[in-house]
Amino acid sequence: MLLDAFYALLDVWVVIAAVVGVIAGIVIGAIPGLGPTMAIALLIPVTFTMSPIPALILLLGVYQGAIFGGSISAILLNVPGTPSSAATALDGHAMARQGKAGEALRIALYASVFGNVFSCLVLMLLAQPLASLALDFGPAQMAALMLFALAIIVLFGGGSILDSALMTLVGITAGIVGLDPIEGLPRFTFGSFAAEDGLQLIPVLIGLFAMSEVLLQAFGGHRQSRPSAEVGSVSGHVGLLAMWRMRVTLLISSLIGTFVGILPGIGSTVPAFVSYGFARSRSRHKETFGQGEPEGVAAPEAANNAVTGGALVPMLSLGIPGDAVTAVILGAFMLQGLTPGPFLFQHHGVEVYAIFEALVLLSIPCVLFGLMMFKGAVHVIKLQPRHLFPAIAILAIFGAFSVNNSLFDVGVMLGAGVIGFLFRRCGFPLPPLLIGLILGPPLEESLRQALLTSGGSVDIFLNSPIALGLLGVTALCALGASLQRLRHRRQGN
Amino acid sequence: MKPGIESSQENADRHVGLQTLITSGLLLVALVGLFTLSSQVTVFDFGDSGPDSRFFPRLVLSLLALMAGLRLWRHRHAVETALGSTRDWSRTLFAVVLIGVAIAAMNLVGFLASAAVVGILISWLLGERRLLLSVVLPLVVAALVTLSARQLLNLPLP
Amino acid sequence: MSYHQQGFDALLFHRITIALATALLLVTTTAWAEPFPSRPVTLVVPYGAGGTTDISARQLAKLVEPILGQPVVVENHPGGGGINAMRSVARADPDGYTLIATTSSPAFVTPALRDVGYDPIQDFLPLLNYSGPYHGVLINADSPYRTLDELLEAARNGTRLTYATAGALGGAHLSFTALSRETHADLQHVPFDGASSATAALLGHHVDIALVPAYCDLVNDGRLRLLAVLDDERDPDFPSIPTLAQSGHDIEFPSIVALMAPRETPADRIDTLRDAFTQAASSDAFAQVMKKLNQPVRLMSGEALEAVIEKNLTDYRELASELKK
Repeated sequence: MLLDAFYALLDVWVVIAAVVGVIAGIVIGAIPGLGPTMAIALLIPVTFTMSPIPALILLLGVYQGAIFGGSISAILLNVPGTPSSAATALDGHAMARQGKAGEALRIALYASVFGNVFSCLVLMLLAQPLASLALDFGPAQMAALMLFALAIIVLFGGGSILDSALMTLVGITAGIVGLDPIEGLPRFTFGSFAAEDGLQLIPVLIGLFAMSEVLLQAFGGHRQSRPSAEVGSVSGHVGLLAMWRMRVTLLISSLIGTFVGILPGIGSTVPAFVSYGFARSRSRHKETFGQGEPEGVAAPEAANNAVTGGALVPMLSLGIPGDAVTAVILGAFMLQGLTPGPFLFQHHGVEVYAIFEALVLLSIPCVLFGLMMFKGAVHVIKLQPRHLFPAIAILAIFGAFSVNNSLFDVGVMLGAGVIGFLFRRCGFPLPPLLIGLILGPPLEESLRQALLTSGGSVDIFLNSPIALGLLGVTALCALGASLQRLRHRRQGN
Repeated sequence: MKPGIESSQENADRHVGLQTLITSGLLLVALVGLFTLSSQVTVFDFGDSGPDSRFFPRLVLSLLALMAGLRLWRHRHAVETALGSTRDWSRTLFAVVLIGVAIAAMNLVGFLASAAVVGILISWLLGERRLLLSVVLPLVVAALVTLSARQLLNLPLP
Repeated sequence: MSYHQQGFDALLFHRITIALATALLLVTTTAWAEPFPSRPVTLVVPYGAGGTTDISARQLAKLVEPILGQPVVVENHPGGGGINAMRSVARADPDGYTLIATTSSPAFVTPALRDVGYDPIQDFLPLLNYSGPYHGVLINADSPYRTLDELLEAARNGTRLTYATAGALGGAHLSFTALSRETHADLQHVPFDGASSATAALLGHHVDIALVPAYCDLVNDGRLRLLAVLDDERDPDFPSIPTLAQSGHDIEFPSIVALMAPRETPADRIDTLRDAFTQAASSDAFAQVMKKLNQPVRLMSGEALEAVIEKNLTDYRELASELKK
């Protein structure tokens, strides 16, 4: 079977599809606002007339490429191209400012490939048993998991815990605006129909990270103009040895990414930040995180790329997509006559295994074209801010509009830009705000779903070993973090 | 911490620093949210057991108020970022208002015109005075974005 | 026209007459002779690109292009569960160049429950219905209930059963609310974010029942059991499974995927569009694509569709006013 599948890949159209997909994905991912979902949806009509394997490889190549592409703009411009690369910006951009842009990009690329290959191998070997594990996560377990993720980000994300908690709550509060997830009635929309969709993630992301940067520049940027960072060594060689030193971080992050990917509805941003928090809490030199620590680039990149393989597990074996991207890919599979679900592996084994193998092999064009693109992209950092930021502002307006073709979203983007600008002037951390916005609505939904199924009793959390375990670990983490702080303070005195 | 922040700390005023101001703003938002909760959230009664749709907002807004209050108390003696000069603020405000106007007018004048205006304004604000770079460059970028969005992505830009 | 007062100038009069006549001729010829459609038609899809509604609408658009002789451009306008797109199409120029491919929720469920900014009857003219996934009443295969009656019997006698739907205030939710009021069964609604999450919750035994479409493979695989369909007719894939109405309950949730135009669109243009789209939707090519997507082709004329929408709108309004109290 595996060999048959491999022979199916020896086709010039497969190679062309893989190359075109990866390149298109990287470019689209690098533009703020355009993510893999939009890219794949746009390409589906193109694949109507193609045969199944090249068609799906084209789309999956876009998916992989786009998740990595987001980190290029995050590292070079501090403007994450996709939400999941916001974590990469923390240390990646710091490295770029120190003239190590080439190195940061390479670490990101290699970590991405690692995460990707890891999760695809998991998908290949364990798709069926893992899919049933995913089903064990009902509302109560999901609510506990989300609380755990929030705790990790607040406790280990870096900076003051109080500030992180405050920012998380701001994010969750922002997530309340819009339709109530359970009863479907508007909340805090002040009678506006446009606000019923709530504050959408992509416009807020663009506002917080891109528009606020523009406003910071307008505030005082041109005087203390950024020491136009030297490109440094463009080659920025990263040896295998350097990556080998991060092996544990890479492995843990890939595990987190794959696991979260299997569960529906969380996406790739949260595992990226959770892995970052884990890498930082494990590190012996925590203070370098946020100042250009290579592991701070590798951890989120491995995690957010590992989500791809994980997210395909329930999609393929049960026909249940976990997020927007996999829902679109599901449509593409069906159009090719490969209906995901319990019969997929029986009826279309060769095609499915060919696609799995292709997912692993897609790393080759990813690395080749990634490295080629760096050579050009890295020079972006030499541009003067006064030439770069007008273009970023235009892209920000366009990106916010393109999500729902709505001007309201552009307004939200500008509002988020002002808020982001103020918080950054204060030194408040923005990532917890983003995570709060992402996790707030599903947290409320799961919490209330759990209480609806149990008839309002909290026993549902205590009777489930998974939920109880997760809540216990959350409590332990909180305890550990406060003990650590205490010891740190004593040593400091 | 951003590098620009520490540099402006020497002339910091202890009590009306930026952090206090923003945190008070958050406290205010949380309290306003709590007070308008019942008018802004309607509850449909299906006879469901469990918390209704006001439960979670109430919880989160109270926590937000609590955290903001806590932060104000804990940092009451901390050295904070000074507000900065009026010129900087008015320049930023000007940028925000102009971008806002450009967005509001986008349905009338189209995406190309308003995006180009925003680009030109920002490059002017950032100190670029050469015509080629401050006017032509944003215009070209805006045109490129408009063209590729319409042709490649098939988006209905205004 | 004040040339009488300017003195009689034969030449001027003559010229004006000619000019007027030419203008009139031009106007009439363009009005008569301009074939409809003479420019691309926009088909709005109220959901994001890549979903089944979007893919099927795109296929239909592609098939109708040669019949209409003009391109049909599909525009995605996601958000608000479809009501944002409906609102903007309701306000579009009624010239036949803007159509919408809508589904049940924005067509007659949500408008019955709250203010959405448009009226599905007064603002829209249905062209035809071309699809609509069957929604089933599903339970796990290891569940003790064999029929809907057994299930309701248990729920009447002290067993609290939870049912998952694709979202709050959807047609499935309302049908079961009506069912539980009618039979006094203890049925608790648990809304999920989309039909696939609801199916997953059922497969993981977190809820007892799920009211979802796209169940075919999971039922055939022996994981789930189908007890009834919510639609007004049986699912052709499972001809032995009754509808709710055939099980003795006067409740139905007809699922539609329909084309609509703004209400004031001229009748001749509506006819052109209706004929063209009906022809495309009944073609073999369309049937093949829909089969791949696991979606049924369900053709229904505009009049019949309007009656369905009107009936359900009234029913749901009644139910909503009871619920609001």
